Amino acid sequence: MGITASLFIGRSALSAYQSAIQVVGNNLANVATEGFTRLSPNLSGIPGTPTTGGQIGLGVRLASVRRNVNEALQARLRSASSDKFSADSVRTGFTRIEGLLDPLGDQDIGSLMSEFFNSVGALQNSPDNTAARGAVVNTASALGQKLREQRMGLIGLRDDLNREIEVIVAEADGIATQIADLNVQIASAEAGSAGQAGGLRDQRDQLLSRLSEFFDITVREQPGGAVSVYVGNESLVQVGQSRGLQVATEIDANGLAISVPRFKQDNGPVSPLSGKTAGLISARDTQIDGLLSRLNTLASALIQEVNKIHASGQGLTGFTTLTSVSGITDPSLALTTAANGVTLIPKTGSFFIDVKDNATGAIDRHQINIDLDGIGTDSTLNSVAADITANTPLTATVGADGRLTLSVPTGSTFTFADDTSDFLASIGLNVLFSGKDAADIDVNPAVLADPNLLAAAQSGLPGDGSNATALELLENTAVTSLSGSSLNEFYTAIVGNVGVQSSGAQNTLDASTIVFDSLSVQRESISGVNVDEEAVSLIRFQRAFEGAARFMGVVDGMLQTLLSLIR
Amino acid sequence: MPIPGGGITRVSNSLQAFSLLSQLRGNTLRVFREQQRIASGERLLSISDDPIAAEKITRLSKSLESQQQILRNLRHADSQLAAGDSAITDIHDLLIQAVTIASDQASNLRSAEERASEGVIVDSLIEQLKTVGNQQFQNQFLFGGRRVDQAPFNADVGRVTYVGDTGDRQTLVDPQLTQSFNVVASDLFNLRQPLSGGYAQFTVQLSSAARLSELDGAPGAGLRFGPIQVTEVGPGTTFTTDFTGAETVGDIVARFNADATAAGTTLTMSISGTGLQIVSGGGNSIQVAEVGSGTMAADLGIAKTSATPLVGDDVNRRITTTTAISDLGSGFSLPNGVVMTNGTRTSTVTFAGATTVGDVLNDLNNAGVAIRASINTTGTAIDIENLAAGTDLLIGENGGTDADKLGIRTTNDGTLLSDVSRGRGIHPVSGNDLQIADANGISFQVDVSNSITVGDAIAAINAASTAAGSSIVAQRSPTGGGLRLTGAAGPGTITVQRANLSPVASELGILKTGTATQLDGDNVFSFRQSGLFSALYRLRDGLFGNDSSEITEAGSDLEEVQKHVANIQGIVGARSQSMRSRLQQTEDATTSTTILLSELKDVDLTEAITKFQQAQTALQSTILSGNQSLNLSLLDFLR
Repeated sequence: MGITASLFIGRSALSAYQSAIQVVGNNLANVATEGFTRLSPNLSGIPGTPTTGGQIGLGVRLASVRRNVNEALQARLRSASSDKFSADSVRTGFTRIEGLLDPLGDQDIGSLMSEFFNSVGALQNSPDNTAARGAVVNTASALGQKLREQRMGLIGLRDDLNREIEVIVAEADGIATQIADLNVQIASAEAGSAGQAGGLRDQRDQLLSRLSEFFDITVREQPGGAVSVYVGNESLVQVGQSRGLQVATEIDANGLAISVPRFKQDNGPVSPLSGKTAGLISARDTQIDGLLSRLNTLASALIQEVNKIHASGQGLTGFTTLTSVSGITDPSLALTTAANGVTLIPKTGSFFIDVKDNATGAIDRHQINIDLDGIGTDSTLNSVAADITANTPLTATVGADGRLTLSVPTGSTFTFADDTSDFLASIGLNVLFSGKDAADIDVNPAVLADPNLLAAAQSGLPGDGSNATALELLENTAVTSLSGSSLNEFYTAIVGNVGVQSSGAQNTLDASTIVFDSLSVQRESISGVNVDEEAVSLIRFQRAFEGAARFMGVVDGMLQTLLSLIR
Repeated sequence: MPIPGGGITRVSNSLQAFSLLSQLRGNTLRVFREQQRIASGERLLSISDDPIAAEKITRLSKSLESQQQILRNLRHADSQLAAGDSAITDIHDLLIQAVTIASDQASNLRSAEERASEGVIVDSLIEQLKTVGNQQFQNQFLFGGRRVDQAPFNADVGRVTYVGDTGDRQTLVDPQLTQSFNVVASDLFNLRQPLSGGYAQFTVQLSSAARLSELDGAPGAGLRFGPIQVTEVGPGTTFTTDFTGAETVGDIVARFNADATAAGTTLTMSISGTGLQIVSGGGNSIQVAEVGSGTMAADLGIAKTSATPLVGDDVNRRITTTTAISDLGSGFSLPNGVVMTNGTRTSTVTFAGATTVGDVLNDLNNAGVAIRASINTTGTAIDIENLAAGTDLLIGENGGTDADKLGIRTTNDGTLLSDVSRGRGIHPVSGNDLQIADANGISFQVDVSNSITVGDAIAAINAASTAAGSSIVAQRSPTGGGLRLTGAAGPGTITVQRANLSPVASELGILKTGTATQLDGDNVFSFRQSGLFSALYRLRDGLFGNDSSEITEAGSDLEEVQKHVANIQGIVGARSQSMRSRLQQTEDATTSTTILLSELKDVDLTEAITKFQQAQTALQSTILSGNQSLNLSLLDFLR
């Protein structure tokens, strides 16, 4: 081996350590870069030529720059990230639901329901008192408004979640495209190279990690460095190709808009099980829709049960004309026809129409039968109207909108009593609440305009509060449509349910955060940069570089010595 | 929450920063939450903090609000009862004055002038008592029942007339219990006993439209719905039918017939008189039986085995205002009407155009003679009340038998002789009491000592007349409240005299001479309102009429009323006492609920402040230790 070969050794060392110092420098530079994977210079000796004494190496070279990464851990971290962000979305949804319901406050549905029933309680004591009547109308109105507001609030929440899904899917679509691009770049950068394209791979890992926040993805690395990305069993990215993601707006079973993620390429469904999107979908379709449904059930039961009692009572004044607040789709069909647009289906029974002669005060009672036993001809709105017209002094007409209008000749007024068929409540005659559920619950405009129509009595007398008593008792009476719960119990159960689910969502979030954090710690432990460690490496490589430089000086001295022999 | 870092071998700077950040976030959140709790005084900041406690809070809050409403109800009821009690004390004082006048003036030593001047005082007492009866509390007439907007007493027919309601006003005094808080004037002044009418127990016919709730059922226990089993015995075809959900008798018939046809029997059900009837088209016997321990077949009066037709028992339909007049009995109608006289007012009611019991009641009530006709509580008869105090009410026929058919005629065969002349009764002697002679001079004597009712007395007279060969027939006066004797024409007149100095002829109002063919007795069976005002009018009339016995009897009537009012006051006191004790219990319950609620809802400040301190200390330590550890670096030693 010649002396100049020694110069090569020195040069290789200078070059290798310079590179190693660059790697350390790069590590130090990225000490605060999120998702950065620490690189380690992999130095190896250059094998020499054989000599008589054996083989002397030809120096050192930077064999490769190693990325300190555990791919299996990365995959688990992505999965944990999906779980965490899914749980976070659900928890956030509940936080907003809790804020909306505010059951511990004094203006929640429960408090307003109590105020309504308490005002009804006060009415039973003073049924002829104008202020007591006004209070019932006001509390009923406030309760109806609250139910509507809460429903609108929940629908607003749903809309927010839809928007959020749209934003996320759009971002995820961009990420998928970037991953496909990086796949191509990494494959070309690493082609024929021993090491990995660290920066590009870091970028891709970062994007995969971001994508895992949105969807539960599976990543498979292909030979050549590209990765395939799957959402569930469906492929999202293959080498340099992304199927793309988009949001389709559809209408769900309740008639409400939903944003649904789909593949752009073929509009195929994307069904995430975890990740923020899954959490948002779950919050929207399970938590909010579930609550909306329970809210509607509560409102519907409140309307129906209050109206059933109210319809059989009498106010301080009778009616001269009255139109039902609800219409029927086809008045020639049996009243039990489900498609007739009524939520409270009447049953076989009867009710009384009391016609009062204003001059004498004499009350003439007429019984109207509702026959819905399926034997012979069942009652229709038209047949009931005909019956009323034929057998009472009243004239009953069914309007084009399917609403029943009753009127009585001048000099008389009419009231209703003892409806065992629920017909009156069903079509909205002499009712307190109008509407079907939380979407449209309101106080019957006629009662709102004239609180004297509030039916506090069962005997038609002004000091009779017995119907108000029956209404007050309703608060804690078992209701069939609420599976035997009372209105009070049902509301308490809603609160309990939201509380338990919300607390459960927090626990899930805490648990998934612990898993995620633990895996993040492990990843950081492997891939993170420690400045002190890098400083040690820096000193090490600096000394090595200094040694190599000194070695070059010695070889140079040796060369100088040899050259001086020539003179 | 600490970062889970067990098992790691190296710590990167990012990890250090991440850990510090996480600890800072956690500790800041703790400080924030504790500060929020202290500031708001609420233990729970959201329901998810403690869902079980949150549910309990919701439940207890609602329970507390219900209890508070019940407290308001109880206070309202108590104030009403207290106002009633105070008015009753005034009534009591006025009554004492009246009783004193009666006992002072009963003596024969009092002069007519003296009595007349006391009569003026009694007039004023009547007026004062009427005013107390019309007393208002919180803008409502205290004693007018549920008719709180109208004074319960007026003087429409010249005498104090009760036009108030007789119903209770109730309020919830417990989540499931109502209690009445008013005193009705008719109860207080004992105006409702005795009621007139109610003599006719109608054989109410079934009709297709009749509500099943109107049926007492054959055994009188109402209809207890359940399946029944029907067998057409010949072909042995059996089917089960269930009437649950039926509303009217027509629904029962329709359901039975539909099921009978579907089962392939020839049975048909129909309405027959007061019950149901099943006919076998094939002429077979019919068996109707209960299913299991049901009672529906018996309730419908058809639980039997019978050759066709199976005629069901009377299902005891009650009358309501909607019951058709024609359903009050087989072939029932009211073609003639009734004549009603109350005091100076007379009215003939013809029931023209009336089709229901409600129409009949309206016609009677609006006749302007101050009566109230209503269906009795068991739904079997019509009751009549004389609303005017101290006037005689007579209800008789208008040429037919309508009053008898409705059971509202003043006298009835069942009227007790002890009720004659406002309860003075008759006093037969040993032996015969009446000496009656017809126009043809045939005379006979009658012993009424074994007679209990008017019918008995009439039967005794008619039996003696027949035995003596006389043409005299006794009957109740068709238009009045007395007896009428009729006989064949002859040269003389119908005459009634005393026998054995018996006062009965006078007491029955027939100690007189009639025409040749007819003798109308006095209205000794007239119906008067009982109670306070009638007693006062009796006293007043006795004083102005200078009638010692009337004054004495009025005095004893007033003493009865006095006892009654005292009794009512006792009842009001007891009710008020019960309200107060309930009030106390509810207040105690409210306090317990409030304490429970506070324990769940309100923050324990000592605990919260301690926790706040701990969180603050933890935050401080994190900041200090983080600052120290992040500042250490080997780079400081590089040259």
